[in-house]
Amino acid sequence: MWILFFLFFCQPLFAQNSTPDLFDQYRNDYLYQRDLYQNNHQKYLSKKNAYSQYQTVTAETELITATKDTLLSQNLTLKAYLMALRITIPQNPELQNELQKQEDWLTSQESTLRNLSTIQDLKIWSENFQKKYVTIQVQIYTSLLNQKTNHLQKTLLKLKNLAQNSGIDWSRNYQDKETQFNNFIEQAQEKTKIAQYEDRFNNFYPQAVELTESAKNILSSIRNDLKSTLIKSQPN
Amino acid sequence: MDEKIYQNIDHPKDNPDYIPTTSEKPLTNSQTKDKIKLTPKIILLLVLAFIILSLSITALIVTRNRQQNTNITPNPTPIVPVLDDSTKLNDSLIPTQYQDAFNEINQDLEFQLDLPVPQIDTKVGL
Repeated sequence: MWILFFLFFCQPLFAQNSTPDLFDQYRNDYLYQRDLYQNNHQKYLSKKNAYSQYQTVTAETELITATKDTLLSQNLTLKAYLMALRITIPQNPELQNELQKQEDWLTSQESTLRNLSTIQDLKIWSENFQKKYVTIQVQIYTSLLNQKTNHLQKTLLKLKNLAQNSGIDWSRNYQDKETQFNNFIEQAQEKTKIAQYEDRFNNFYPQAVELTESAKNILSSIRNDLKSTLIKSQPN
Repeated sequence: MDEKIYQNIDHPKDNPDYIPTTSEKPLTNSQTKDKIKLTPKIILLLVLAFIILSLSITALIVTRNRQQNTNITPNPTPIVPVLDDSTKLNDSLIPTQYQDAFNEINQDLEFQLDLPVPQIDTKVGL
């Protein structure tokens, strides 16, 4: 009986706290993988330099190993990043699915990469990856923007609830500002639909972030209005 | 005894019978000044005249200087530093029942996702 009670009532509490903990865990894993990638990348650069200088078989073998290590840790870094990013957008399952697809592709490439044994093979793989990375970047920045806009929309809801609870007429006082806010959010989301090049990422994110900042300024303005109204309305 | 009228023949002015001639010289400036009495009213008028004169001269000099400096660009108006909106009103003045809600909203507005995008070198292997 007590066990059932515990499971029934305590589970939601754990569920609420699980996302931030999971995010911290995934984030730490990503940062660790990123450090490994950076180390491998430095080794790769020195081996590449050595190979271009000496052109020996040993230098070539070392370069192939360093390249594979770097590309493998690159895959792991991206996967870790996508996993951490995926749990920040629980409100958008479609986008989560897209991120999951990219993670799956990266996982599938691990065995392929391990089987590559020549510089030419690695070159072909890298050329394919350059094209694929455009799609990955589009998904990354679309997700980041989605996380941002979703967060702002939640804040708008909190402001609306606060106004409602304190007896302030939202539609009369803040409807125009809400419309402006929604326009900025829509414009920011439109930026993600910008055409992409085959092998180069056309970065829409900075412009989209500017629009979300404008939306955020509107929320700050509503917050300040509400604050001053409530301070003035309280009895002395 | 009858009084005898004294007459000094060396000083003709003292002679009551003396009639001055037209050829006598006019009075000098110093002589006329001596005749004007420096009453307080006159002193006041003189002071006021001096003040008006000095002000007129000053105004003349200033006007000339302004006319010469017409092409000088005006100094930029000092810009008041922009303060953060949230600091304009003290949060402690918010009614107690709404303070938590405002704190939550403030945190939401300051939130930034701490997940730096990976910097990947896509030329590795090429």
